[in-house]
Amino acid sequence: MLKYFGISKSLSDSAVRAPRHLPRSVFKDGLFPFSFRVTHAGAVYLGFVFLLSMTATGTGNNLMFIILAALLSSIVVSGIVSRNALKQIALSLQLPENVFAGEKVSIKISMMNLKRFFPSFSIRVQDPEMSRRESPFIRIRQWIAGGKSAPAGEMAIFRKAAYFPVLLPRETRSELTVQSFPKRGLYKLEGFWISTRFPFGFFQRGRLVAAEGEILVYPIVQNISVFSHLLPFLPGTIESPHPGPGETLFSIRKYQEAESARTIDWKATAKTGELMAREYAREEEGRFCLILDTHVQGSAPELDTMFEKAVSFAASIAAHFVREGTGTEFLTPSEYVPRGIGLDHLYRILRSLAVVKREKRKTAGPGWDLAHFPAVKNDRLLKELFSEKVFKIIVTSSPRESVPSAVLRSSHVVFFDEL
Amino acid sequence: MSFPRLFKAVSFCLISSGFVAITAAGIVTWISAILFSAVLIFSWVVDSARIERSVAGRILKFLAPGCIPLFIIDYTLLSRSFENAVFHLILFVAAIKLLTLSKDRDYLLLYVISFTQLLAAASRTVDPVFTACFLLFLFSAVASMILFEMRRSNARLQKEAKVHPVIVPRELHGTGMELFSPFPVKTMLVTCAGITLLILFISIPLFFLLPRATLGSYRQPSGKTLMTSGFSDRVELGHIGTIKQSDAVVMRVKTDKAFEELPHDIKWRGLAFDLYDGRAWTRSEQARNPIPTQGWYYKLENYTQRANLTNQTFFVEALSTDAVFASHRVLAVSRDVGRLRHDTLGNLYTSGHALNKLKYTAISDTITPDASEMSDLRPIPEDILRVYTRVPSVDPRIARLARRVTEKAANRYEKALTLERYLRSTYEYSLVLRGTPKSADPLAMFLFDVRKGHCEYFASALAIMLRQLGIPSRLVNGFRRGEYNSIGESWTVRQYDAHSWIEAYFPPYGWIEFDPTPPEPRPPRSALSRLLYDLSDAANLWWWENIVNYDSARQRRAVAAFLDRLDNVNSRIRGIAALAHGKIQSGARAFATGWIILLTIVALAAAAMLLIRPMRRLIIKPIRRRLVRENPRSLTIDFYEEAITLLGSKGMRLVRGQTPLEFAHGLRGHPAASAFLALTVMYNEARFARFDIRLRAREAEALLNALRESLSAGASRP
Repeated sequence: MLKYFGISKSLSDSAVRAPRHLPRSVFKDGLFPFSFRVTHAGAVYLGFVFLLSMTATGTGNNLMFIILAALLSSIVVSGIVSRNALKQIALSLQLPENVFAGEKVSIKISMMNLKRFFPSFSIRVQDPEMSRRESPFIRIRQWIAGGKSAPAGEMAIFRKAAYFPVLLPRETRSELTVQSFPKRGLYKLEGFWISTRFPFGFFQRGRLVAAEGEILVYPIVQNISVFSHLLPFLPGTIESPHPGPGETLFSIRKYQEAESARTIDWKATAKTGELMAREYAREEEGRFCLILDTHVQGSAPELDTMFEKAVSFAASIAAHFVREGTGTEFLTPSEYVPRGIGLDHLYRILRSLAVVKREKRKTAGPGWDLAHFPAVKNDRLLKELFSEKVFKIIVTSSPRESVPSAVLRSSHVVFFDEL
Repeated sequence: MSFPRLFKAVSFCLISSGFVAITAAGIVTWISAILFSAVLIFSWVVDSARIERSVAGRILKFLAPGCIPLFIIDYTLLSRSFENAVFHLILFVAAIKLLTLSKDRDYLLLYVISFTQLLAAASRTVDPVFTACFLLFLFSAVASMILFEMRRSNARLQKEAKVHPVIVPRELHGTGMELFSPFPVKTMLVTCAGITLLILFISIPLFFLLPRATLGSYRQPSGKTLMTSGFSDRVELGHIGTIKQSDAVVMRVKTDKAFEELPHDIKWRGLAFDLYDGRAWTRSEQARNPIPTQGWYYKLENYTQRANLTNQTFFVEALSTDAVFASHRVLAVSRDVGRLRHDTLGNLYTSGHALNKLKYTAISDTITPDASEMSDLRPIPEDILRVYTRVPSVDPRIARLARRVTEKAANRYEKALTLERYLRSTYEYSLVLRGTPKSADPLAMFLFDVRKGHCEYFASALAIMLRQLGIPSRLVNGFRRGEYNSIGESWTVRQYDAHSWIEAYFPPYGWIEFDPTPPEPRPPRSALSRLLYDLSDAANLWWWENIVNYDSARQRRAVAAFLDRLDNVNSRIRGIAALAHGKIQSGARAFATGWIILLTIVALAAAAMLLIRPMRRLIIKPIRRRLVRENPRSLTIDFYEEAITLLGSKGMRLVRGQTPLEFAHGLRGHPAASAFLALTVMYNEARFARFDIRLRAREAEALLNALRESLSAGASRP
């Protein structure tokens, strides 16, 4: 697996206090701006307080009433203290610039206590997406759906929880954790869900700290050797089908006079008894284009897996050619990336691949025409791309016979079912 | 101190506080206390987690089920008390857990045991020491629960994902406690103390507001019972003398009258005796009759003549007697005394609260008899004469002495007074009795040989002498009024205040008290010790009166009083409003002047509030700068901060993450930009570089002034 670490990017809260009007989606998905929950220990505690209140009332023992009053006021104090602990908290998240699906990345989360006098204790930080898993509304919804609905938290940026035992007034503390993103795509941060069981662990209070940020997770990039059986040898410079000055052997033919004696192949001459000469293929700075056909016929769930494999394959191919120094163009029905080299160019392709989506084939027939690629507005450019002048690796789900022979002549086609 | 050490310390404090509570309540024996303390210290010193993992730990775990047979042996053979056996069992389990303390659940079990011990102490004591134990428990429980929660939250998180701080100290690496470094112990303890105070602050009103039911069948625990001889069915001469050696508090009495308004010789009557056999006093009539109730009181008398009513509230310690104390003549006793009964001698008994602490109110008629109203012509009822003039066979010298002393007295009442005075003045008070109790006729020995004795002898002598003169009399045992505690506004009565006196019958008053005993000599006490004692005694009384005896009736009264106060406040406000309205209507100048003064004060205060900032800038800061002129570096920083404040007031604020220079460059185009940029450069130099101290401070001040001028010229945000 390849790793690309760049400058880390920081996602931080835009506002210290929770906004009065939170995005509707927050409410819609069963997450409220504030929450208060009785823990298991709290339920036992409340039960015990009830029993003690019965005992104290029944006996009239005032020392029991003193204990009962202290236990009851502890409940009130829990509310006050936990509310104060969650007040004026700022958070920021730092993660690598380039993140690949499935790759373990180190995440730094920082929390700052903006209070002037009061410390904050025992604060747990989660992505709101992840905290939805604990939401009773979501659980009920999943239960009603028979567990078929998509699990919450799939697209959460901060996929692990962090815990800050103490934050002194005006103090910032940072923690590191390692996590991975399961899927490629755009992950958006809705905010941070901070919660605490402070002080006694009987109640859990939570609050949403509004924040904005997003991270694009690139598809899985694998070593090209995994796919070597699918590919011809593809060096950086593409050999032409015509003889000429080059390094690759094109053919062995009869020696012609006036040719340089260096061209004579003495082994072949000995075998045939005639002077034979080596002819080399003409090397050209040929154009190379990677094409991902995102049109897929059908809607079976296994096609999704196949599509993801195709995207990963395309990303791996792009990474390989860019590393080889080959000028690469990239084309999908929704985007065209012109020719370029270097890591920046690779990331441009990967960004495109990160968000590429499976599209339903519009035409009913098996045809595979240029109209599939509306991203290229210029017809001339599109025709050029599909001409013999450009060598192409096409990744498609279309049937083999549907690919025009003109395209096949200048392309290496990888079908989804081969992956 | 690291987090684990602090956690262990507060947990042990919590465990100890529960143990101290039951020890202070007298629940555990001293042997159990010593053994458990040893285990506690041992567990603190050694690494209990290591014991838990070792062979010893396994043996201890194996022994743990053995607590059940031990409990049975303890219950049947050793302590022979179910409660004590249960407490020993709890201590045994706690000791085993202390020795193998390692997991969260071990700590949790010990917390629960500690809380159980506190509850047990609450049910077995009413002593104010409980408060100290409770406060210790509360603080340590708050600290322990907080740290326990943090420990569990961290463990839960570390189970889900490995999270660690950016820099992990080497000693904590791999312990799972990396996030707790550095741990601010002081801040944590201050927070715990703050939370404890907050809990107490809310608990106090809550305690008084929690609804009390009148159905409670709970009897307050007795604590230590005081043995009080002299208040049984038969009292031999000299018994009172034995309890007079002790200074233990018997009761505290609050009266509705001030110290100086009470009769100087008021006494708390206990039991009266009518039958003297020559050595001891007994009661001829043992029957105890119920007393009718009226409202919240037992009603003892249906009528009073020119009564001087005195309301007394008694807080009686647990005594080995069922006698109810009150000053003579009792008219009514509150029903919280329990089931009250009386006999023909006017003695009051309670059965419900025998051997327990007792609180009740008594209303007595403490009128002083008028001698002019006494006359021998008023007949004494026959039944009284028959019972209270019986005299055993005593030395005939006693009768002769009585007649000789009273030969000049005009009437029966005067005779009684003369004899009282005679005994007081002729005989000496002494607790050291030489031979009198063992002699054949102790009274004769006292009157004619020893001529010294304590109150019982004086009272018995007077009673017998009066009887021989045909005046009905009886002996009364009780207590003198005791010491007055000016802080608690109560009388503290101790065992050495136990006293004997007599009651003689004189119509129309009935039974009148006579006290022939001369004053007892008391060792003087220093003012400081007196003050300290009064303070602690007042606190003790307050605890008992307002906490231990707080009940539904008091709660109702408190609510009613609160509502009354609200009504009062309401009516006062209405009165003031009406007055104000009337004054305004009439245009009263004085009232208007008052308003003008008030408004002027408000206006001045508002002006002062508005002027605080300019005053600070124009007066205080320059003065401070003059004073700290020797440090121009801090001056320059000060100037810069003031410039930031000035710019902030115009809407130009430093954004988080922006460096001072970035901020200064961001003001480009603003009239104040150049001055501020120069000041920023100086500020950076002052903070991070070499700085020409003498020149730059003045320059900074000049730049600040320039900035201020350009801003006041009406510059707005660029």
